[in-house]
Amino acid sequence: MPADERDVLERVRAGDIDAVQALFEEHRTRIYRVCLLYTDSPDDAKDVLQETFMRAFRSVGRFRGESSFTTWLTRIAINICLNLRRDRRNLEPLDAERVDDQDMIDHEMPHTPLGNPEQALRMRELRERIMTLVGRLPPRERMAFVLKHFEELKIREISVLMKISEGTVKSFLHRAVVTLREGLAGERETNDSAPSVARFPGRRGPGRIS
Amino acid sequence: MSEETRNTRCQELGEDLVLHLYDELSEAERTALDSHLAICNDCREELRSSRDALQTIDSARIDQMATFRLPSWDDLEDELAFSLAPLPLAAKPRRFGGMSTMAKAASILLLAGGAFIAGLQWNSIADAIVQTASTSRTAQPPHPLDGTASGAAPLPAVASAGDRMRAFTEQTHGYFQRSRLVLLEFANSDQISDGTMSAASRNLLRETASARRVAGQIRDERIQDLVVTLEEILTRIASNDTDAAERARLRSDVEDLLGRLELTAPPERFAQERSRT
Repeated sequence: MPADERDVLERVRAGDIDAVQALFEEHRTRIYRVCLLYTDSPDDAKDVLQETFMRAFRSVGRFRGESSFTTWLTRIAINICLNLRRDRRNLEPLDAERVDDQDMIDHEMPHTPLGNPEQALRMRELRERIMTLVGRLPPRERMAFVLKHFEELKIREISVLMKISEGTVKSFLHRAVVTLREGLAGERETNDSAPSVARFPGRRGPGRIS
Repeated sequence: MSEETRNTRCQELGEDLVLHLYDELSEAERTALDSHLAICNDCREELRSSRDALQTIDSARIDQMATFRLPSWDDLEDELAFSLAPLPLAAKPRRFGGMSTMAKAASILLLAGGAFIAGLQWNSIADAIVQTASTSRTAQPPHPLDGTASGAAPLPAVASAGDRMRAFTEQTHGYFQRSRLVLLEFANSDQISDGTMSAASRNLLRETASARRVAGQIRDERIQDLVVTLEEILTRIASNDTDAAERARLRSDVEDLLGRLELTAPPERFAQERSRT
């Protein structure tokens, strides 16, 4: 553990709010990104982010530096994510909490040199399709894919984070890519007929695509 | 190579195709895969379509949504700061109605003629609260929390937060002051329902986080109790309940609490404010 990290953690243990903020600032983007890509819901991602840091701060006394703090923290977030859906699936319909796509487009406009509204719309539809497919992956496959494809972590790192063997990571990743590939191909074929989501009464349920 | 072995081989290499796309193969694995690809049309096709799929995913630029509505420290500060508070504060059951007895109020030490009566740790905290509010920013006194008050139990290591802590304390002081004014108003009001007071309480409730934070850092049960009680009372005022019995209970609780809040006011200011109300 680097000396300054040890120092910050000491201060967190002593209840120093500045240190808490410093840790939060350092890690929030990465943790949130994983959560958002995994949940596809800013509300969920925010909840997980908050819960992650709350758990971390409460149990920081038990962190002994066997792994890096980043790893430890990300593990907490991953566990919360993986449990999140299991809990919520039984509680409420998921469509309501999805990313509001118009918000998303508005949000991106300043950063995205999209040529015209039509292009923006196409981009939005593609993104929806992809996130729907990703969302249908089983939780651990989905997490492995998010960490690999979007976070660009190494297989070895993912195996450490998810506490599974590298072989399992590889197999998750393979299955995820095959599913996504087939999903994208299938949607291309049926794109103009029926909304593909309706054919899979899966996690998302029907009604996403209007 | 027979058809059967080829299929087995293809299955074996299925994962490697994906790993290849993510550049996760060792040199040897890569060579082995390449030599298989050279003779296997199916695997070449699978590699191509997987690559296309991943490129399609990349083209959606989903990474751009990755910080969509990224919460800032301000968004989560309340919860996160609160999570640091020692458990008694967080775990304390909410006690709406009949929370503060006179005995408890007395144990919290009242401010008498500007002098603090006993109370070691509490003393130094109350001191800090009053001093930071009553001294100007230009004449920075040594922060009372930077050392241990004589005879007091050593304070937890909040001293390193120095300046921030001072600012927080100052903020908390204002919160107490404004709360006290609302409570005074409430205690002196005969109206059954008052939207203004309710609104003022709601505003004050937004500031409770800093008070909790200070309380959490200080780790003094009495301060925590004060903060929790005040929050409860403000919540009740904010709810603007017109039930007569609740109103009477609330009034009595408010009077109790007022005694406790005087702690945080420099006496002369308190006198001025009281004459105004």
